[in-house]
Amino acid sequence: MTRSNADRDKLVSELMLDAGVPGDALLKASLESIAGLSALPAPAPRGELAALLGVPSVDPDGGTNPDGDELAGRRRRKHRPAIVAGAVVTAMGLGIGGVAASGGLQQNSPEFIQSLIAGWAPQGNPAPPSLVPAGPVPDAPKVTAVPAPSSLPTAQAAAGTPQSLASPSPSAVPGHASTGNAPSAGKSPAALTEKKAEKPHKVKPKVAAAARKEDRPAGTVRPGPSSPAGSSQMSFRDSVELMLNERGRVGGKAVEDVLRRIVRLGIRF
Amino acid sequence: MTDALTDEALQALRGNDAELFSAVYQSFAGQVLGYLSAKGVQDPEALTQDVFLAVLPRIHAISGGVKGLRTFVFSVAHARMVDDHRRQVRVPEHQEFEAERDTREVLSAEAEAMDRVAPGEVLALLGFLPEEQREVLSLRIIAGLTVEQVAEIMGKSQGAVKQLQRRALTTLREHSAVKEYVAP
Repeated sequence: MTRSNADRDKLVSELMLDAGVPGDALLKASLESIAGLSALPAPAPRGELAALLGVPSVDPDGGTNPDGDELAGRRRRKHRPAIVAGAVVTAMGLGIGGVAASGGLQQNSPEFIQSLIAGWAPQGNPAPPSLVPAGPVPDAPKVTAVPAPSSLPTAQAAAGTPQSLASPSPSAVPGHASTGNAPSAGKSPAALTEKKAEKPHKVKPKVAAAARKEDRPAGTVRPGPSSPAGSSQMSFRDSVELMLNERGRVGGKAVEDVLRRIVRLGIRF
Repeated sequence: MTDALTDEALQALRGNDAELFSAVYQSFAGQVLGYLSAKGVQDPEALTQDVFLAVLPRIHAISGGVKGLRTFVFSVAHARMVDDHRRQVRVPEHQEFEAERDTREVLSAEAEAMDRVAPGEVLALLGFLPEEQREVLSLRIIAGLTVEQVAEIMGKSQGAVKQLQRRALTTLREHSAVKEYVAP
């Protein structure tokens, strides 16, 4: 096995004798310290040497390149954040691309929202709060009171206009009026159909509503219908026709109620 | 010099490669490791194993008993050491030091043995010597080779080897660091 201290002493003494410097204690001590390197333990065999000696390798991977796997692990750890970052950037890119491909919300939002609102209105609600704002209501009586006397001539003169179509509704021409009335009101079709369905129960406001309706064309003041639902006029006409066809002209009274309701809403607006 | 491996034991192990290889490795690996460490190779343990990977398969072709085997082992070790030094000269290795990955202080038996023998100062002593003087001294007192064996390994005459070892000892004795190291 390894050399003993006596063997090292013998080696050093022989060397010093050969070199012609025997008896130097300091030099001998230093030389013995150098000779002590031979007492190092044999390193544990690894890899091919372990296989050659028939002993199990110190490293489970064979130990031929013990740093290889460790470096590979460190490379994987270094690459992992880059992979995650790449995945995040890709996901964000896909999301942004999807939004861009859809045209964006800002460009299509008005038509898109209008289409949604046109097709979606609360059912069973005779007077939706969104359609009847609190502000304009008090003003309605004033408008009706002042221009009331001059209602008849102006109404006939404007019979061809869409505004006057609502005038014959009180009792004169319930059936015909419905066809020509369509473009006037400018209301959303869904809301109007609902109001018509519930209207038959309310008969009281007919007269007042008629008066207001006739006053309207005289004053030529119709700020309400045009501004909030200007884009839905066509859909209103279609909806009225569709309603009449489906219901098969349920009755003059019902149609009148619908028209009165329309006119009332128009006044409020 | 009394090695555990004698000529008789070596002869008795012929034909049993596993035990022969193990006996040779255990007898010489520590000395080869010490020699390569003294010569300042980059990875003494790995080079030690390379030496025995080259020696053991050819062990049956070696003549001269244990003495011949020792000469052959350190001839291979010397050649590998020279190759390692040439490689270091050609391509100096620059490695980034990372403390968390440096487990050599804990795992290396060499480091423990170096601390036990003389912490770091043995190599400093050898560092004062020129290359050939250092080589002769290492082969003589670490590898335990005779002047004839050293001369054979180094490809020099015995007189040249004796001259080198004489100069080496003179240098060590005269060097002030030797006195500082040996003094209490």
